[in-house]
Amino acid sequence: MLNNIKIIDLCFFVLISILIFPELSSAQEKFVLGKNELEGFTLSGQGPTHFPIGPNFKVYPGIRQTWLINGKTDGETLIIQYAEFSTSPIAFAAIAYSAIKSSAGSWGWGTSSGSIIGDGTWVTGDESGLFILRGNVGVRAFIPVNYQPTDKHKLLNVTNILLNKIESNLSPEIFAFEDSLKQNQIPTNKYETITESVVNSELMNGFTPHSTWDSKWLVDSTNMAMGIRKEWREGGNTVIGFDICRFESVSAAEQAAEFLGEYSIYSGNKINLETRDSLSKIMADWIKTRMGKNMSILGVMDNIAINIYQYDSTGVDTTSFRALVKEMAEQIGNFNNLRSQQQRPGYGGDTGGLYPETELS
Amino acid sequence: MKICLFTLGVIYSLSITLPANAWDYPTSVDVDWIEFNHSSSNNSVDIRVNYSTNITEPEWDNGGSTNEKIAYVKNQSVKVQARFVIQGQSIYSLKVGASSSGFGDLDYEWVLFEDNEGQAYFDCDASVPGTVDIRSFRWDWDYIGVNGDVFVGQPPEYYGPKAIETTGTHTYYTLLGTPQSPMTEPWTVVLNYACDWAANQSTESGVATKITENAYTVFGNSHTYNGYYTKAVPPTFYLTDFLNVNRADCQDMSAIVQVFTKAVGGTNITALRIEGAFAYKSILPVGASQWQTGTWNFHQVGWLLSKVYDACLKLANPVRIPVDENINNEYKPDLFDSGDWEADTSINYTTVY
Repeated sequence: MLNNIKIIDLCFFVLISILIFPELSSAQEKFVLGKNELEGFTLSGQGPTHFPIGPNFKVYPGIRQTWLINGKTDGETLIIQYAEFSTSPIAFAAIAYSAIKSSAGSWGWGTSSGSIIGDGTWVTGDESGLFILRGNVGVRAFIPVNYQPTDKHKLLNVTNILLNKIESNLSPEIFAFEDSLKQNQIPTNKYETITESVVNSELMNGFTPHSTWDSKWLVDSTNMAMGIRKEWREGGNTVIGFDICRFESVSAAEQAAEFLGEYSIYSGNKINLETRDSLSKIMADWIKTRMGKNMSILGVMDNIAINIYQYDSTGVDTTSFRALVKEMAEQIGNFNNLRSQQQRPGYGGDTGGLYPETELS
Repeated sequence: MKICLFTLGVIYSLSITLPANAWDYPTSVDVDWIEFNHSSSNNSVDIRVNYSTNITEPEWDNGGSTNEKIAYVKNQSVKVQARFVIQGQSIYSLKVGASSSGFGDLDYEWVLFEDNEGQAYFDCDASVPGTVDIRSFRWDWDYIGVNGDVFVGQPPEYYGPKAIETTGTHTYYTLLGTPQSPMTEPWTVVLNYACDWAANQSTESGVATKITENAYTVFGNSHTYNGYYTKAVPPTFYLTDFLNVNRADCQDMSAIVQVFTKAVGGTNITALRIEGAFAYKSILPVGASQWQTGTWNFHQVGWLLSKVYDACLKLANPVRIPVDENINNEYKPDLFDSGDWEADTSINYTTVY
């Protein structure tokens, strides 16, 4: 049965759920960095804050820290804001809204290094701020005053420290939830079947494997799916990533891709993978907001959703990126065609089928 | 016989040189304190310095070492309470008043003393001026009677008012009306800006106009536009933080317009959210040195009686800070380039930190 919950309804469910768990704000201190945990910074203040997390000015309580940057006398400070939510799906929706919808200037999916960190990251157009999502915890770290491009590594270093702190303090319930998601995760060999030819093509000549992550895709207020996200790097300035997730249904894939597309950039970046007819406009919008340093596209084919993204500090080659999207779309199409063939009556052998429960007839 | 005549002569001489009634004056009289925000009528508006620091009564105290600012609503009557300390035997009352340079005189009232201390309420013979501003004055206190008797007669150096002391300079804000939420107890930090900017204004639209224009200009010297961060996530405005940072976005600036106007007594001002996303035409954002175009998820402005008051930017055609503008006929055509535009979400900041 198709699930046609709209994004606005999803946010509504998130807000109702959050209202049930107001007591969580006091527990989130375990994720907060202690005064000795950030080398090169001095903690100068800590107190309550609010995250805008939904329409009609809904806010959620969090904790805010102000850190002085050692050696800086021009007033430059690091601000870190923390929020812990009751579940990972709620956290994803809330932080995504906070990143994309709550400020006049849009944050975008990604980081200033090009990598996606944790379960999700968003970065400002001037790269002075980052949102990080991991499990049911969201953090915003930014240097709002006198940010210099040379501060980029400082900020990225901080976010990695934050990620480790969050990881080490997530509750067993969060890990149990993720274990349950892993049951339906696209197998690694299937992922590689889809990506192999592109990774080994001329389009990715010179790129080497950089990272692997169990990615999270939000389906609705209580459901997520787990995908595989791998990144490849060329030198220190270029990243290509493929985040592929399979879903229980086409509608779930559409819904999850729709959500991430809407919350990757204010104007949305989901395309039809087969026709790719809106790709040019989306790429043009990305160039305007992120100065062309990265591109990110969401697409769905059958019950597979994919996030294809590329970062280049000197500016993404749009021709190459367009070719990358086209090639990945074809590979997913080939994969789906193979699966369809394998599901036809009389076909023998291992299906490599998409659904674990699929039976040959 | 000669002695008697001499004595009678002395007595007669004295009788023609001394007044028929003689008073025991206090050896000293001091104004101990003056309370403006008292519990009686015609008192001043309750204000505070900022979020964390209150102003307690009496506002003038300790010989003037405490001398807080005060606030009144325009055209209101004024009454103050003052206490005096005297030295001198057998003084149980003085008729005290004050003449003003810069405001109204205080009517004379009998102050009854016990243990050398006494206090009374004094009505001012002038009302607060009818326009917003920050004004100052002094009071020259004196007394014209002792122990129930008013000085009557000549010469004036004997029968005239006896000087006590001069108090002030007393500084007061003139407000448009009773301060409104979220600034029912306005901060002097806010009134220093708002009453100065809106000087000589007597209407809410006039006040909002001046606050908008001056907020853009003045905060443009200390803040630079940055659309990624704000101190004004509705319905909360972190004003103390805003005054200590150097960036501002449209939410901050619209909060300034709303909160400052309400602190002065505006009743109709709110903020308006214009949902996008949309691309905007050339603007000069607050604090910026270059005109620029771009895209916004949304924009937010001050909103009064269906008119726009935008302290966040200058528009280009003609160059202006948008005040008192019709949103569809005047404002939007010069701001909106393309995209979505939904201007129907009213916002009220209800908490200020």
